Amino acid sequence: MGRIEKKHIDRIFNRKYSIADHRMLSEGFKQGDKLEDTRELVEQHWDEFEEPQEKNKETLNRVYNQINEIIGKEKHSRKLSLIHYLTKVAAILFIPLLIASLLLWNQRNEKNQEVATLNFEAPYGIRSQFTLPDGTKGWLNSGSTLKYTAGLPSQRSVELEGEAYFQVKRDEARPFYVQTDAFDIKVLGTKFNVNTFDGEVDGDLVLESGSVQIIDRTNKNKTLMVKPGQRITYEKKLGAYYRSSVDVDEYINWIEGKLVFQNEPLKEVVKRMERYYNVEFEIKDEALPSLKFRAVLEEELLEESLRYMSLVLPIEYKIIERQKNSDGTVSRRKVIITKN
Amino acid sequence: MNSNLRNIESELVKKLKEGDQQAFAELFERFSNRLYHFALGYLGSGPIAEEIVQDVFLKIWEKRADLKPEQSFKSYIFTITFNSIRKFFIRKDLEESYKQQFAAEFMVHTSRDEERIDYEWMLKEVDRIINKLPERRREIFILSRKEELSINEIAEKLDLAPKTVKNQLTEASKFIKEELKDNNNLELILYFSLFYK
Repeated sequence: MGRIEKKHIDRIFNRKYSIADHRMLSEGFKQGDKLEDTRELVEQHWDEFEEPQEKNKETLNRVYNQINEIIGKEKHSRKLSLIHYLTKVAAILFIPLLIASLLLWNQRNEKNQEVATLNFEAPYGIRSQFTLPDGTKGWLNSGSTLKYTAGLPSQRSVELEGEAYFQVKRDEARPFYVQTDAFDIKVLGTKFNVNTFDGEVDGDLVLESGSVQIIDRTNKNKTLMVKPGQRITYEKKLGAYYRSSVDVDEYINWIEGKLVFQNEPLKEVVKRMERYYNVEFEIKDEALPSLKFRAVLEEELLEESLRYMSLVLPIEYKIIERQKNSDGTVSRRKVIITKN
Repeated sequence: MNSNLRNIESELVKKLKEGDQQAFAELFERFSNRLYHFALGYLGSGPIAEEIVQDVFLKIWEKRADLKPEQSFKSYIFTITFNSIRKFFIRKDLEESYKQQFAAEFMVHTSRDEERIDYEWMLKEVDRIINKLPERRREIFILSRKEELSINEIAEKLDLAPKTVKNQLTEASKFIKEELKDNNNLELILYFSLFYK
């Protein structure tokens, strides 16, 4: 193979290049005697490169915010533990963990194979623990459901809505699949958290240990390997995945009953509090939903959490207790938030 | 470069070295668009270009203590960018390597073909053809090519006889050859590639 030249790079840049062009550059990028030549060519290209003036403002803003979030984490970790301490007030709302309720055991025959679906559900206000027949264990966050299809010999598969933490039993011969609205996940044996609740992103995966593979829902050939300590988020509208390194604990301490907010807008904060406390929120002011809130709330009563929020944010709250409706049903408790 | 601009930049770098986040934001504003488009050109993917921008600026922040305000920031950022682009290109190449092998086996007949066949068209064509295989056969074919499993390993994994796996692979190859033989697109692409050379 010859030397890499500017024309190879130009053709790649213009997205009209041959297999040979591609090979030339990938060889040039590898560690070895060609690397220095490639570096020189690319550096010259960088110096002469005239960037298009079309600014991807939105894209670059998003990237900047992600960077800031990662950088911010180192700086705020000390502050967090202080808040942590301050909010460790007496009241405790620790619902004894429910071993997941078996809602449905529905059996049907399929080609001499017994296929059964198990449904696990964690209602609002309750986190539950589940154990699947293959030995996989995990936690289901409030307002989430998990469907398990048992009896398939070659694979293990669950469907998840909401958020769950998994400790998958290792079995190389039978990969464990998690299907979600956002993406599918292929697992051999590992610990990880998945969150597909409506929020700033559509899918959110954080890997604690081992390795998993994300499989795109629209293009099964598009896959993404994830390493421990990494977080992958997915934005459905753009079909885009983002990778970052995170402190895994902050994403999985909900299983211990902690409610962690990492500089999240109030509108996302109340969504999670609605599920956690089984209440309904109403925000009365247009400017409030975008206020950012950062805290670790550890098993507080609703009132305690709200009181803390009203100390750090310019808000006031009012709780409307359950009411009996005319049709005999009982409404949920409601919290109304107004500007202070 | 304009010496005034250079002064402002070296001021910013000095501030960043001291941990000033405002200076970091300013340098991001000045260089991120250039970096994004440069990475986009090499990798051809928006999401990957974004990852590279993130990668590069995180590194700049982490290594801010090592910054040298008297040196050109543009060349400093290039060094980090080059390594990041390299890393992502090699990863992409690795992920596509089974498609390249597919092309070598079924689509490329002479050494000239390598210079003629459009790379991105090739990727799409491989996907298209593989997706036309019946599901089971496709699964076996992918395990064999992409995951590089042996016939016995596939047989064990899917609980099939090795002979069945072998037959399925033979059928798949036959189908692919047939599919490519009927394909006039290939000639069109060859013509097109010659044209831009």
